Amino acid sequence: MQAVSDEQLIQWVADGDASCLGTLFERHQKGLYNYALQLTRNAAQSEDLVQELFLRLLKKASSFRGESSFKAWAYHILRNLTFDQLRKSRRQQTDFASESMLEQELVDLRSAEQSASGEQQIQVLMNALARLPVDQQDIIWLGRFEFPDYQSLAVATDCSPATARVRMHRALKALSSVFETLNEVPQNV
Amino acid sequence: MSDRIEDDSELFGDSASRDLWQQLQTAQKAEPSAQLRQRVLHDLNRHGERSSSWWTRLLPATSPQWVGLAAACCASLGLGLLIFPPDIQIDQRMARLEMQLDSVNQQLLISRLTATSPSARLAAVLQASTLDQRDATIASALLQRAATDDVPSVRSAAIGALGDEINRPETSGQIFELLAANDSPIVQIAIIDLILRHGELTLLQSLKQRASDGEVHPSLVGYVEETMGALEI
Repeated sequence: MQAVSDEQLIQWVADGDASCLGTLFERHQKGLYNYALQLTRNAAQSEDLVQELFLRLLKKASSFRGESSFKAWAYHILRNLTFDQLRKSRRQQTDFASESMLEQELVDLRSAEQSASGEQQIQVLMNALARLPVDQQDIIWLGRFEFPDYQSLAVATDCSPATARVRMHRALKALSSVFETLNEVPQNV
Repeated sequence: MSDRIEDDSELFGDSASRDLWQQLQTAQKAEPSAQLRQRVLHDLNRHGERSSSWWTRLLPATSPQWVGLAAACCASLGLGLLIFPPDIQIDQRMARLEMQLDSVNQQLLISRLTATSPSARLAAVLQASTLDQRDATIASALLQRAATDDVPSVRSAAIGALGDEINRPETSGQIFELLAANDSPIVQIAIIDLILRHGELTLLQSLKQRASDGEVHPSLVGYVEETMGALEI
């Protein structure tokens, strides 16, 4: 039993076999959805973005040159879609109450199980991550969960590996600082 | 500069940063809804239908340019059929579908290897052991079961299912670590049998050495020595 590579599948999509995109969807949907969810903090919007991504992949399959992995390419497109969406909805300018509500929604989605098992620290950490600027959440999430090396992280985030590294350093430092602050005050979530 | 983020010593200059990084890994991921799958698959089907009836879009086109284009398309199609007869195209598509099916089966198998029910995990291990060809993902999942499963019978079955994988240096290293770490005779005997059946000479010698060093359960030392004697090792 040999797995077909993502790159082979997208090549077949480019050749006209759209069904291969279904396999790619099954392989990556959870990671893509969680990435979009982290940035948008909205489940319905995240699903719309993933759906839109697969439509884009269908249309753009023939433009995949194989210079990077399929995964890095797909995340790069989803990242652009998500940032466009965030710009349109001016999410960063929402008032504090709305922000807290969305944050709570995210916490509910991700950490019901964790709360039940008493893993409060993880919950606090995810809260701290959600409080960072979107570009810092972006680099941490992709670096932690999807791209273990700076080379592929750079492709997904559209910068050089050296820049990705600098961004990662800054973001992790910021996360550490917010995490410490949250740990100092009692949590009401 | 190391390219791997985990190996970036400057990033994890203090232990707090590394702890934070490790803690993030344990975060639960949300599951997308079933509607998302339905919506995407619906899009793909719709695209497939559109692709198969593309010619209907040419019907209203009556201008000379479109007629010319349609004629050129027909000629290309005819030429294509001559070069790639339909049966070859069907064979190619079948081959692709078979590969995709293999891929889905593999995902299913890996998912069952981590099922909560021990009997489901055991069934998955037994299924994996019957595969003629396995890729590194399944071998790695089996090794994971062998090392971490709570149930000894699943661990021993996973060890047995590794087969010839045992001769890969990274696998044999982990198997010997398991041998040293496991007190369960049922798991140890599975490891010993695996090495005796599939191991190359260096592995057999290593096993003999470890048995005499006391890394093997006392009740199994005699079995190892006797078998090694029969094999003249």
